[in-house]
Amino acid sequence: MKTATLLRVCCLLSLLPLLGGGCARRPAPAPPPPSDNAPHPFIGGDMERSTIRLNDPDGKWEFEARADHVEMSGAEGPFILRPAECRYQRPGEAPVLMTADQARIDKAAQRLQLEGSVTIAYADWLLETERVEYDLKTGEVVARGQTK
Amino acid sequence: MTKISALMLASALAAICLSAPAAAGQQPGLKMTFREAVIESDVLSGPFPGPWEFSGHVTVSGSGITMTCERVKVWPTSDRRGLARLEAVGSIVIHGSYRAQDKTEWKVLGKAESATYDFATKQGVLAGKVDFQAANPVDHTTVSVTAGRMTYDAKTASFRFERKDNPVRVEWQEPAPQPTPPAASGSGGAAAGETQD
Repeated sequence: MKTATLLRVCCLLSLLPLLGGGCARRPAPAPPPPSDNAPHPFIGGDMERSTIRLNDPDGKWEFEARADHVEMSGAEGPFILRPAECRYQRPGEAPVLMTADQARIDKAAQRLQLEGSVTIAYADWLLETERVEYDLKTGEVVARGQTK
Repeated sequence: MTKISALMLASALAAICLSAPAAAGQQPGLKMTFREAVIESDVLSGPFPGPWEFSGHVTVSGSGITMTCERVKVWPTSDRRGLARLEAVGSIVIHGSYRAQDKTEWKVLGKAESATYDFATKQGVLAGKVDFQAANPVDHTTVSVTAGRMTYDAKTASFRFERKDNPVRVEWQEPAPQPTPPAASGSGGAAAGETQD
């Protein structure tokens, strides 16, 4: 009998913090005042008809990608564009124009992956393939076809 | 006999030319179109605007000639509008049509270990155990050459064969005139010779 009473008291005591704080979520602390150095509060999401731009800090290249639909998981990407139209340009050279069913842009690594019906046009040249990895820093391309 | 063998060689060359793109049973997955040629392969690597290296089931086609090989590297011109040079290695097979200076059309088949082509000078070189065959499908004349090195000058439509490690051997076969003279001796119109370059 004494044991049962003790158990009831313990249960009531464990509920006290909840009753004191209420069942509703606690209010979030006030956000800090905006600052130029503060990290981007953006977390992720989807965008329609968007343009992603990357620029080399030393001005050696510029990259721009457009898509009807863009998925992202953070301000630094990766960005998934479907379908994608991209343009890569180095000063004094013809632009490299790309299209693909899907493009994945890794902003931090400055790398681009193109997949599905990929075309890359440069001057009078045209590359058609299924998968391309593009190192935007070096301009190096590795393309792989799907052997039929 | 000579006519039969010439016909067989011509037929074989024609069959190879027709079936060569699918000879390996697989078609490469990527294609790059240049002004001068189309290159297909499994993998391409290099920066835009070049140079590029193509590897795996490589096929280069242009000007009526198709070449298959294991690996090819191409360099663009300085104005980056065309191709300057091509270097291929591994199991080189070249086939297609060749128009001689006398306007006759020949089916050609060449095999070698490496190949280069300079688009400015229009000179191509096959090197390493070169085996070159040509057949005229109209008059059934055939030419067969083995050598260490073959240079083709597209400007003059001329061939040059060099010994290098292998002696140059040329066989020229023309079909025997009809009807064959009963007193004819030897191998009809066939001729073979070995040179020291």
